Amino acid sequence: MQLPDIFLLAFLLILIRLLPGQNLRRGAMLVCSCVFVFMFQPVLPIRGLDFSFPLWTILLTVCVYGAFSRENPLKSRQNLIDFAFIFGTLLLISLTRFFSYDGILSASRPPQLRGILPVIAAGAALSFLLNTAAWRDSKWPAKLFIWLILIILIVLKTPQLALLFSRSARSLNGQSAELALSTDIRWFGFSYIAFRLLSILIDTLKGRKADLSLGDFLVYVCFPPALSAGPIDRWDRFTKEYTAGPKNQAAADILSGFGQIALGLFHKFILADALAKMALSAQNAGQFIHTGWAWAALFAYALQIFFDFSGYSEIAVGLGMLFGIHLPKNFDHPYLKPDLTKFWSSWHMTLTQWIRSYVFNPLTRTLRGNKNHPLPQWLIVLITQLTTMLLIGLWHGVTLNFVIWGLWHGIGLFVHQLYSHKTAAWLRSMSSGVQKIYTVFSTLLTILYVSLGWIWFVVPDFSGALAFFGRLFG
Amino acid sequence: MEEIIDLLSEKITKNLLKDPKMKLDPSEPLISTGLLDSFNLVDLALIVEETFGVRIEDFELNADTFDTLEQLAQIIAERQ
Repeated sequence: MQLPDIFLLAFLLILIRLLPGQNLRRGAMLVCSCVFVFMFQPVLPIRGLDFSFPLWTILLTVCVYGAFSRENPLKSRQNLIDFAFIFGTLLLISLTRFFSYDGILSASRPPQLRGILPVIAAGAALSFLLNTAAWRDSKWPAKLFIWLILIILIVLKTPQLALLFSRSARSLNGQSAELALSTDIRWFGFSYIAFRLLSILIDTLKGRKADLSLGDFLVYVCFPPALSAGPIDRWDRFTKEYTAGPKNQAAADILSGFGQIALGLFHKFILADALAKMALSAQNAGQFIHTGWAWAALFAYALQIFFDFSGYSEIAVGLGMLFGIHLPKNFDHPYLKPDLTKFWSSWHMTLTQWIRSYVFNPLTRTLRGNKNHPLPQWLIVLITQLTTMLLIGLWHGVTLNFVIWGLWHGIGLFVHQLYSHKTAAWLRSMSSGVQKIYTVFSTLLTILYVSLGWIWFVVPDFSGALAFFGRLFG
Repeated sequence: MEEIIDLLSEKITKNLLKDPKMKLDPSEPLISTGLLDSFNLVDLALIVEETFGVRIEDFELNADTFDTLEQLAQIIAERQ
């Protein structure tokens, strides 16, 4: 999200909020969500792809709705209206082809209608088909989409697969495959969209009822403020607040919303961007001569990534507030936490909460619940922490450096878990002075461990990261 | 309700925090303060299921669903 996007979105969200009647608001928000999926998508060098990705986001969401919803869309008036709004908007965006060569609502000029319309019609038909009586009680559509989403995520996150995709797409388009790069494949917001879609698919597979209309579901998945960098809200929480409509406190919400946005802009565009000038980066990692500057660059990066990401989250929360939606916060002073467990409970909180709900908790429950062949406590902690953190690492990219970064934190959490109970009980028996000294010391140690971990995150090649470690301790 | 709270309090201090002498206040936040970590929470869910026959789902194991003994006891009482 760039500054003009933020201000345009802020204006539109307030405007939609002030519309009379909940139905009008919901219709306008649905159209706005569809349009921003296209507007946020960056230009890609492969012809038509920067139109296809947003289109697939919308169609995938509509089809996922067909896969989990138990409501017959043909019998629900609300869903039919939502259907008309969504496909009408898609058609409208496609038609902008005739107005401009640059793309008014999309990254570049939309492709020819004869290429788009069959795809849109197929998506609509598939959504209806998935929801027909024959399949409505079947679990395979939901399972199919879980696998499909995971496969797309893996392709997007693995540079070699993304490169292969880029080559194939270029060949199909008649463009030079030799110029293909893995960065050609940037599907805007998919990491976040995927996790929202997965959560509702997994929940409904487990037997939870998801009673929401198609339009409300699409707004949840593609809510413009949270499209670029989260937070990953829970579908039940979001839709409950969204369908209830904004409370009668527009002035207070708008005031605090702009307060949050201002704070986020300051953190992201002033603090983070200023720190970026001296922070460790993939480009400058090998250029440090003095140990002191290397340490300064490392801590500058630790602060830069925090202000950059938390700034984005604050902007998203602030924008949500303008519309009357209270998105969950993503950061809670993570660098002031006295141990790694608490750090991970306050850093990118909505992602860690997601991973806990769908990976860590079920895995721990299964391993703990096996009474016949109980595993030792330490082994359960090791397996679950490594799996969880490895997945968080891979979510950032399927590359060696993110694997090591994930394992770095997994091992850190495992070690902390081994001694935490003993120290917690000991600490409770100590005087408040001792507790304070211990907390200061352990907080500094946590900052150091997390900061050293960022080296793996920021320096993509293994030897470069090791050389930087050597510079710090050499 | 009080019985549920007493039983929960005993199980948490003895089995999870390994500090049986510790006293928990029914309105004391357990999750948001970090007193119970993520492993404790899964164990707590298993204890609740075993003791009261009530299932706390994986996505419910966070401070938004319950944070204090009172709130957890309320959920158990509602679902029993």
